[in-house]
Amino acid sequence: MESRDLFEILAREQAPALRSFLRAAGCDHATADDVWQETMLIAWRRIDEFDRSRPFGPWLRGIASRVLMGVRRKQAKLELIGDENSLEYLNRRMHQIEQLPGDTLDEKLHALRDCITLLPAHERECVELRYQQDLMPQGIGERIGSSVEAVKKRLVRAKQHLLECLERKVSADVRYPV
Amino acid sequence: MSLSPQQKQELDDRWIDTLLNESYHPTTPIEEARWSQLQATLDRESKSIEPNAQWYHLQRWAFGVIAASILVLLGYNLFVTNQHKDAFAAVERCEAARLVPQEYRFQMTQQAPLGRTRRVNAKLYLDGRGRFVVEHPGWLGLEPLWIGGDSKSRWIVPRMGPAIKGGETLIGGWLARRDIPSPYLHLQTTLDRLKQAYQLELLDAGADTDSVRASEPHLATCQRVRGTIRSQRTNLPTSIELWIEKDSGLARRVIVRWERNPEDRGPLLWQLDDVGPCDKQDDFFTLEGHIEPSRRVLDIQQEQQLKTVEIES
Repeated sequence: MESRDLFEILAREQAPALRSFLRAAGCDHATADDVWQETMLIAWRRIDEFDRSRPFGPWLRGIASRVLMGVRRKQAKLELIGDENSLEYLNRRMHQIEQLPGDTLDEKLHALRDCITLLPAHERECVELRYQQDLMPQGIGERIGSSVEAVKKRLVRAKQHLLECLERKVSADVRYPV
Repeated sequence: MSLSPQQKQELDDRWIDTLLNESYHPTTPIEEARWSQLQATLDRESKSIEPNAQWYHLQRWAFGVIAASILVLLGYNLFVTNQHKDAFAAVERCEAARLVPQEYRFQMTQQAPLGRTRRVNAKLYLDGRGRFVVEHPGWLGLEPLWIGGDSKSRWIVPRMGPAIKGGETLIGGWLARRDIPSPYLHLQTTLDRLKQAYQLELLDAGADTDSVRASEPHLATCQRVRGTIRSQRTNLPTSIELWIEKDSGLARRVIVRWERNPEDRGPLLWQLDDVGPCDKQDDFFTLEGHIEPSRRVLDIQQEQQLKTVEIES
C-alpha cells in the first residue's frame, strides 16, 4: 500500500482521538482546529518516516505535542499544557482508550458509557446534567437543590470513579503502564 | 516520567472530562468538515509537488532510451537525479520543521549603480506560524524600519510618517523596487520556490571555506542543499543554499544569490544565520505591536495609492 493511502486510512481513524487529545491538553475549539490541521499536514509530509510496525495514534499525537509546545511557547497566556511530560502522559492515556474494543473512538467509548451506568444515582445525575445538558455547577445545584460546592465535589468523585472503572476495563484487555 | 501525583490527578481530570464530552457529543459531523478542509490543503500541496514527480519520471524514461548508446551519460544523469531527490527530501524536512519560532541575523549585500556594493545588517524574526518581522536599520541607518507580513500581506513601519499595510503583491512589489524582495523573508515561500524552480543538489556542508568558517562547526554537521535556477529569469535569485540541521530539520543558514550587471542596482547576496529561538510575543508579529495607537496607518488597496507614499527612514 502506498504511504499516502495508508496515511488517509490511519489519519481518518485517529482524527477524533487526536481532537480529544488536543481538548484534554487545554485547547479551545479554534486552537484545537489549528493544531489539528498542522499536525495532519506534518504527518502527511512525514508519513514515510512512520514505522508501520508501531501504532499510528501515539506517533500522530507525538507530532501534535510538538506543535502544541510550539504554540504554548509563543502564546504563554493560552491555558495549554505545554510540557513534554504532561503531554506524554495524556498521549499514553489516549493510547489506553485505543486498546478497548471497537473500531472508532465512539465505539471504544461504550466502555465509558458502561461505567456511567455503574455510578451511584446521585453522581450519575450530576454527570448527565453537566455533560449531556451542558449545565454549569450552579445550574445543576439549582436543578437538584444542592450547593455549588456539593455539586463540584460530586462531579470530582464521579470522575474518580469513572477513571477507576475505565482502568479496570483497560486492564482486562491489555496493560499499558502510565 | 516525573509528574507528581497531583499533576497526574489534574491530567486525569482533564482526560476524563474530555472523554465525557466526547461520549455525550460525538464530533463525527464536524470531523468530516474538518477532514474535507484538510483534504483540500493536501491536494494543493500534492499539485505543487506533482510537476517535480513528473519530471523525475520523464528524466528516468529519457535516460533509459539514451542508455542504449551513451552509458557514461546515463550514469552521470542518474547521479544528478538522485542528488536532486535527496536534496528535495531535505528541503521538505526543513519545511516540516518550520514551526519553530526562530531569530536570524540577516546580512544584505546590495549593489548600487556603478558597481558599488553596500552591506546592511538586519534581523529577521520568524514566529513559526508563517509570519516574519525584519528589523532593518533604515536606508539612512538612523532608526529601525520594521517590515513584517505573512504569505498574503505586508506592513511597513518607517521612522516617520504613517505606517502602511496591504496585500503581498502591492506592498511586496513596492519593497522589491526598493531592493527588498520580501518573498525571501518568508521562509515558506523560499522553500516553495526552491522546490519548484531550482535544480537541487546535496553538498558537503563544511567543504566551502567561503561559506563556512572554522568557527562554525555546527554548520559542518548540517545537510547542505544548493538550488541552481533552472531557467534564467532575471528577477529570481540564481542560487539558494540551505544548511539544514540533521536532527531537527531547522534551517541554520540560508544564502540567496543574485547575478546582476554592474550598472544595475538590487540585492546581490542575502545571508540568514540562525541566532536561536525567538521569544517574541504574538503582537510583535503584528503592525500594531510596532506603532503607537495614535499613529496613522495607510491601508493600501490599489497601486495608485502607493504613488503618493513616501517613506522616510
